[in-house]
Amino acid sequence: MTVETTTNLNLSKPDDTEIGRLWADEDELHKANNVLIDTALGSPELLTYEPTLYATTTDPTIGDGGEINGWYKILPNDWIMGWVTILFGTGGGGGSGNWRLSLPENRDTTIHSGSASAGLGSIIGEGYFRDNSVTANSQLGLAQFTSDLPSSILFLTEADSSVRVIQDNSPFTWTDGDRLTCSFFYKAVFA
Amino acid sequence: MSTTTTPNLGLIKPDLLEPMPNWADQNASNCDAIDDFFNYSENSYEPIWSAVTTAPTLGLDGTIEGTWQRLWPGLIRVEIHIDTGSGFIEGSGAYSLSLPVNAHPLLETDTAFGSGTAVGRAYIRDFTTTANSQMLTMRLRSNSTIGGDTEAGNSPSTWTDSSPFTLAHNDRITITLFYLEDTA
Repeated sequence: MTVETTTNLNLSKPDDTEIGRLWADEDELHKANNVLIDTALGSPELLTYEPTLYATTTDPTIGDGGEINGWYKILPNDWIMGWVTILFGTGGGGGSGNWRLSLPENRDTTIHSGSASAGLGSIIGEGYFRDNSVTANSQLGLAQFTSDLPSSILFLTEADSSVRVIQDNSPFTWTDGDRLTCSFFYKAVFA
Repeated sequence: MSTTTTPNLGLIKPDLLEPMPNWADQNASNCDAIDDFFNYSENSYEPIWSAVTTAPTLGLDGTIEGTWQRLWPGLIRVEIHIDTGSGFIEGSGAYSLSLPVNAHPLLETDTAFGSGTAVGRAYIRDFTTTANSQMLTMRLRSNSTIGGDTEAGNSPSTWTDSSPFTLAHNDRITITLFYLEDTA
């Protein structure tokens, strides 16, 4: 079929002659166009995933009654918008070393860079870190791609005088009742 | 053609009294309208880094790189990475960086501290003294430039050659922006 097509989605634009001559196929063009549009719109539903919180030395423990939840939506052209909430429960703690949090899909490395050092990777989101027992310690921060894995982020804050990456004792010592929430937006590569 | 159209994309909606003769034109028009809606693009540019009095000098092996995407009609995402090189000179005055495409004229612009539409975040890293590193809120100084405000420490202020600290060799600025473009 030699009908004219659009530049972005390749939608078929038959002219009058092609419509008459390929009438039977015209309905197929409709179907094909609808599939192209539907695919380009991305996933219509809000998806869930179970984020993994880990650290460079010893992984944090969520604790009894704690929760870690992740939601995301696939947008056109493989961009992902998502959110994570973490609540530390009884016996929960921050492990040791700088934290990492897994995302639902790998990043597109042609657009986003990653680094284990503060301020050297792409910033793709924001977060808030709540100290449940001493509210004054609570901080906002940024989500940065780390280089350890293509689907993980670390968190930056300004709270501590020397440490800028969130870890077990920064911006405070994490324990029962503390919370972390963040959002992210990035371009993914699907396997 | 007197057919009705949809409010957002202007898709043509012929009724029973407006049948086949213009079908091909109508279909082509609708296809183009839908296609324009998905006019996604990935691009790069070199931001111009300037200051109110004297522009900074990037220094030997310093880099300034910008990538941007048109995610949705009129929605622009920008990522800027600056690495200061050997012999970097900080210049003087409030800093600004150029945008790849102008911001929508309805978005407020202002050069004063805490003013102008907030369009993103930045992290400014002090290589030698990590404790100086800061987050910035990036905002529109004009419809073609952004500036920054610090939001922590003892004295929140506009991002300048001396605030939140004086940049030097190996420092890094990472910026992510979202804004609507001027489509006029």
